Formats: sequence, C-alpha cells, structure tokens
Amino acid sequence: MLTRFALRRLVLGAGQVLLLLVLVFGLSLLLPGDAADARAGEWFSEQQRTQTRQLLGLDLAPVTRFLRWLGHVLTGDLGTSYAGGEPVARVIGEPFAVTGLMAALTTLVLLPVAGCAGFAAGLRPGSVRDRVITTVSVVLDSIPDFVLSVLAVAYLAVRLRLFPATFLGVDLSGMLAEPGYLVLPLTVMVARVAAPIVRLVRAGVIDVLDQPYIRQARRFGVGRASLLLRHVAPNALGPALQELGRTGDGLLSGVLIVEAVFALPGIASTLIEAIGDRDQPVILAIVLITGVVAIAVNTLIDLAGQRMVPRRGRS
Amino acid sequence: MVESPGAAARSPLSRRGFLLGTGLAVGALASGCADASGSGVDTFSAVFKGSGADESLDPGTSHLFIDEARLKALYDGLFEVDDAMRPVPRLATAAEPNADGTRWRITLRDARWHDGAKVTSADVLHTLSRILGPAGQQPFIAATTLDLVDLGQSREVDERTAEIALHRPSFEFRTALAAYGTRIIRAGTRDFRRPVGTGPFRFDSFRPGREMVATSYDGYWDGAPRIGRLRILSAENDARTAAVRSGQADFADDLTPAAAKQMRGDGNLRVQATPNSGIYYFAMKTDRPPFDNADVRRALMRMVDREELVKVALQGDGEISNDVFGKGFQYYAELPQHTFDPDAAKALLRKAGVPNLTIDLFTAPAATGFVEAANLFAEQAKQSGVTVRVRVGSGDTYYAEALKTGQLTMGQSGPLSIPNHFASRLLTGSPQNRTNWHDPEFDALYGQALATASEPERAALYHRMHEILHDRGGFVFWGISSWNSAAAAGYRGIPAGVPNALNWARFDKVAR
Repeated sequence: MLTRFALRRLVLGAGQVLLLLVLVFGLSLLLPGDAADARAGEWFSEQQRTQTRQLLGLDLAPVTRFLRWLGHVLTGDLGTSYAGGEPVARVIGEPFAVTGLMAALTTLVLLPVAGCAGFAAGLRPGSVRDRVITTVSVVLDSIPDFVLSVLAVAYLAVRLRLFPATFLGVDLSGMLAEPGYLVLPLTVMVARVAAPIVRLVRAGVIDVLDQPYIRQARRFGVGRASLLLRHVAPNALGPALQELGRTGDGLLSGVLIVEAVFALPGIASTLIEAIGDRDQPVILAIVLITGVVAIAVNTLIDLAGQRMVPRRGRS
Repeated sequence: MVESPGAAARSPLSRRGFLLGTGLAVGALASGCADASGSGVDTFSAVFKGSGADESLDPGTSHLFIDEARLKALYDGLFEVDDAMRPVPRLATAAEPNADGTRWRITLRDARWHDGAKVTSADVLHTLSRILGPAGQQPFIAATTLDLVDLGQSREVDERTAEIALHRPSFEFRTALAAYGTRIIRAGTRDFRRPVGTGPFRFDSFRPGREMVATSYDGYWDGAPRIGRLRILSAENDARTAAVRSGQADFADDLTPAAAKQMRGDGNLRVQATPNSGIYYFAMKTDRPPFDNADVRRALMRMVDREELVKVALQGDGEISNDVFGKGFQYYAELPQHTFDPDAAKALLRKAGVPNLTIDLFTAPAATGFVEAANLFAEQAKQSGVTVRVRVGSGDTYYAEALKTGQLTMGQSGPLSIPNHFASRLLTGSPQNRTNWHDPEFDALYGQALATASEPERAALYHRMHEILHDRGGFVFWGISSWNSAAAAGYRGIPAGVPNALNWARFDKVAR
C-alpha cells in the first residue's frame, strides 16, 4: 500500500518536474533580452553582442537548446553558466549547501519551539499563557519578514553589534566555524514560519482533548504524560506536519528576503542573479533541484502523515 | 576570517528569546572562536556593488566597477587617467609620437611581475595582440578603442622600449592606452584564474560574486602598500551599508544618497562625496522621426527642468549639466547653459511642424532615479505641449536594448575622457552610438583633432565638436551625480577619485 503510493508519487513527481522545467524555460524566454544583452551592459557593440551570442550558442533554436540541456542533465552534466563560463555545478553547489543548511537548521529550531508553544497554548485555551503565545505568534506573523530582517540588522547588528550584520566574505565552513553569523537569519526564518504551525498544533490539541476517546482514556486513569505523548500528540500533530510541508515552499521565498538582507550566499540570491543574467543553464538547474527536493519533501511528509493518522481508502 | 565583533555571548535574551532558545545557544558558541584568525596581518576589507557569477579577473574582458577595483589591485596599465581624465604614466614612463602621430615609442618602468620576472616590451605587445585577436568566450572591451593599432608594424625595440605603429595618426594614443580593458598582462598568459600581475597586491584567492583576497606586494614599483592584506567583497546596496556601519567592512563604495546622508552623522565613519561622477542623460535617436529634425532636438533641450530633475531623481545629490559631456574634465567646453524654457520649446516645435508632439520614452530601473526622472520629465514636457509616454523595460538588459530600440532613451555614464566619449559614442560606426549620430562634419573634425600634434589646437577642434552637439546633438545631459563612499574613521589615504580614474578604488596608499 505504502510502496504503491510512493511509486505513484515518484512517477507523478518526475512528470511535474519536467513540466516545471518546460514552463520556467518558456517564461525565461519571454524576458526581454538574452544572456548576451545582459552581459553587454553599455560596453559591447552590436557586433560584439552577435559574437557573444554565437559563442554561447544562443543563436540555436530554443527547443534545441532545451533538449540539449536536458540530454546533458540525464548524463549528469548540468552544463556551463552563460554569465561567467563556470560549470553550473560549481556555481550552484555552495549556494545550495548554504540554503540547505539554513532550511535544516530552521526546521530543527522550528519543530521543538513551535510544537511546544502550540502544545502549551492548546492545553489551556483561554489562559494567560495561551493568550501570550497566541498574541506573540500573531504579531510575528504579521510583521513582514523584510521588516523583521532590517530591524534585526539595524538594532542587533549595527547598533548593538551583538551579531555580524552580513555574511560578506563568509563561506560555508566559515558559517559552521562561527555560528554567530546564523543567529539573526535563523531567528527571522523561524519567526516567519512558526505562527501557522503554532496555531495548528494549538487547534489540534484543543480538538483532540475534546474527543470522546481522550475523555475515555482519562476516565481509565491514563497518566497525564502518557496521555499527551501517546494519544494527544500524534493526532494533534498531523495537520501541523502537513503544514510543515507547505512551510518548505514558504521557506524558499523567506530565504530570499533573508539572503538579500544579510548578503547570505544562498540559492535564492543565486537564482535572482541568474535571472538577471538570463543565465538559463543556471536557472534550469536550480529549478530542477529545488523542484525535486520540494516534491520529495512533500511526498515524505504525506507518507509520514499517512503513518501517523492512517485513513481508509485513498488519500 | 573574522573582522566582525562576534560577541554573541554578551547577548541578553531578547523579547523573542523563547522562540530562539536554540539559536542563541548556538550563537553563544561563536564567541569562543571569534578571534581564531588573529594572524597579525592588517586586513582591509572593501565592499563594492556585486554582480554574482558575472564577475571575473580577466583584464581584457571585465567591465564591472568591482572588477576594475580588483584589477587595479593586481595589475597596472601603461597609462591611467587622473580626475580630469588626463593620461598619467604608470607602467610606462613615457610615450612619444613621431612627427605625424603614426608611431609611438613607449618606454617602460623598471617593474617586476609578482613572480619576480621583469616587465618587458614583449608583455606590452602580447597584451595588444590579445585584445586585437580573436575573442574567447567574451569580446575584449578595448578592441574598438585600440583598433587603430597596426600590430604587424609594431615591434620590441629593446627590453624596455616598444614601438607601436598606428593605421592612422593619433595624438590621443596615450588616452587610448588608459582606457578600460588595457591593463598589461604577462606575455603568454591565457588563464586568469590565478593572475600574476604587476600591481600593488598579489593574488591569493577569488570567488566570483563573493570576494577576492590579495596580499601586499613588497616589490611594487610605486611603493609597497601599507596594509598587509586587501579583501574586495561583493554586496548589494543595503548589505554594503550594513557591513560598513557594523564595522564588518572598512570601506563601502557607491552608496545611495540616503545611505550617505544617514552615515554622515556616524562618528566612526568618514563619508566622501566625489562630484562629477555619474553623468545622467536622455538620448534622442537622431536618425528617425521626430528627432531627425534638429529643431525638435533643440526643443527637447529646453523642455527639461534640470534643477527639478536633480532634486527629485538624484535626491539633490548632484548638480545640473548642460548637454556638454565631461564637466571638470580635460577639453570640456563652457557653453551657455540651456534652461527650462517651454515657450522657446513650443516655438521650435511649431517651426518643425509638430506642435502637438507625442514621444515614447523608454526607461528601466537600470540605475538610481531613472524611472523617477522619466516620469518627472513627462510632467515637465506637458508645459511645452508634448505628450511623453513612459515605457518601463527590464533593468538587466536595458543598455543593450536602448542601443537599438526606441525614440528617446535614458542613460548614466561614468567618467570617461572626452576623446574616448566622442570615439565610442558619437562617430559613424562608434560601438555605443546611442543617438545614432552620423555627422560627416563631426567625424571629420575628430579625425583632424587626432592628427593635430598641438594640444591647444586639438582643444579648439574639440570645442567646435562640443558646439555642434550643444546646438543640435542627440544627447541631453541633464545632471551629474556625486559618488558616495564611506570608510572607517581610523584610516588615512582612503581613495577619493572619480570612478574610472587612477585614484578611485586605489588601496595601495591606505594606512592606519
């Protein structure tokens, strides 16, 4: 059952990624100008631009270019960047690692923090504790993340100098060697995605606590800890876990703001630069990898959700 | 590598403390290794506007400001230009023409490459032949500037003397040798991933879009730099500001007027505003209606309220200009200031037979204030009975598109010597002829000026060319912005030249 579900999702996922690539490539062609124009700035003559176009292979038909790119990808070669002539793998390797690290750390911080906050609020709805947690999460949710980022930089980094203001000149090993760099961006990222999860966990807990089987378990004298961990938690966390899947998508757009403000060398800013450069090999490679990761994460979360709350019939 | 105060351990729990428990715990570890890199070498970190994967270290093809800053640290040109765009000898000690300006004898300084080898005339000829030879993945920036060089007739006279032959006379050849993309590379070099130059700093490492690190070169002919190590970092506007304000960087280039204003109150920083740095213009395509009529062009020059444009689009951080390029530069012509005069504009348009003119203005967020200037100009033009339709394109590819399309476009130019401005933008066949200016009289004057040995006589010819453009040219140069930078207050010798000039982004004279 689970295997067939996984297999179906795999085939569906591959189709989705291909569709996404075609769509993104098509959209990138609709942008004004091409890589030669973007590179030309005010320095190249018309003739030099034509020459650049030929050197980059931009004079070929778009369909040919796309199919060639796809062919190379199937052999494991992501191609060469139009902008600097570097292999695409080298251009996107470290940025993916940086963004991946950010996403992983965010999730690592998010799960206990948002989970506990939601639980704490849901156990005593209407209490002072609940109102404080709910208010804080609503307030954080309603501050746009760029405002939060800019405020964090202006006060905590520039004025108080508690943390570095930017990631200038820091590479992945530098970030790991000196995690002080990660505090502000992680804070903003967690604040950005925590609120809906807190809300869902809280609602789940309230909902589950009201179920007849919980009342029954209580009447049986099941201990408080055991009740919360074995009966309430799995059922209350299901919807929140689904939300976490969506958070994955939200993380990417959130990471863009954070990358821009903190000059974090991640994949979102690499993508924006690639779009500015009309650098299709880089754009497509990023879309390919993020697409695969997003679909994989969602599938895994669906699988986990199915295990946690098994439902009869089709999901 | 840590210049930043990584003192996370001092941080008290913030309001959001409960949400960031883990983050703070992680951060607290940071302080322990904050000074791990205390190697005793004085590192100077300078941040410039970055451009991602596009950045490179090839002296022949790089054309971004940040690339220039890096190349200036690693390489030298035979000549560079001062703040008035006059050529100053650098790797060359002199360049002397023959009587008709068709052969130049260049003598080289006693300088050494970073690996200890001598700089020779073979290096000069190699550099020229690379620029004029077949392009690799990118065209060479100076290919058109130097296309008058006759390589076949040029030769090494001796180790320190080169004789360069020209296809046609030019007494401005020193200026051509100071242009972008002409820094001297070592004979035989093809790979620029680990550059060996003659400049004040030796290459250590480079990551495009991130940073370059270089170390002081003790054997530098112009005196070893006072700082031990130079880092040139890439960042967008806000990050540049934050980096220098938080003490993470020692120098930030190209600040917005708002950021500069804010930093003037900061005692830890010294903000410098260099005037005559960014020249803003409207460009009329003179080969198509309605601007193929000189009276319509004259009218446009009078439809522009320059004071207001500078106040709004440049946020007051600049001054008005007069449709003559290169204020403050050698060969600039002081001519009567064009003023905002809707009545005169209307009269000229009536004379041209287009009293109710409608024009398209193609703009894009390609530089600060472009779209604002376009919209403001559309308002101003109404007073002369002209309807301006503003079309906003993509900032990424704007310059390439504006070269071929549209009636009226916009631009911003960094400082450039006036002869090079004429050569690259205003001659029939110029590579960036944005106004499609093809004027036989103008072309002839330019050829005549280049063939004139006497500098005052050359200046007189350039003056006549300026008069033609001031009267009926296609450019409306409406404003000149300042260039703002900020540096940590503890340093002396911070560079303060106009962009593209020798003293811009020059860090070999910086000292604590």
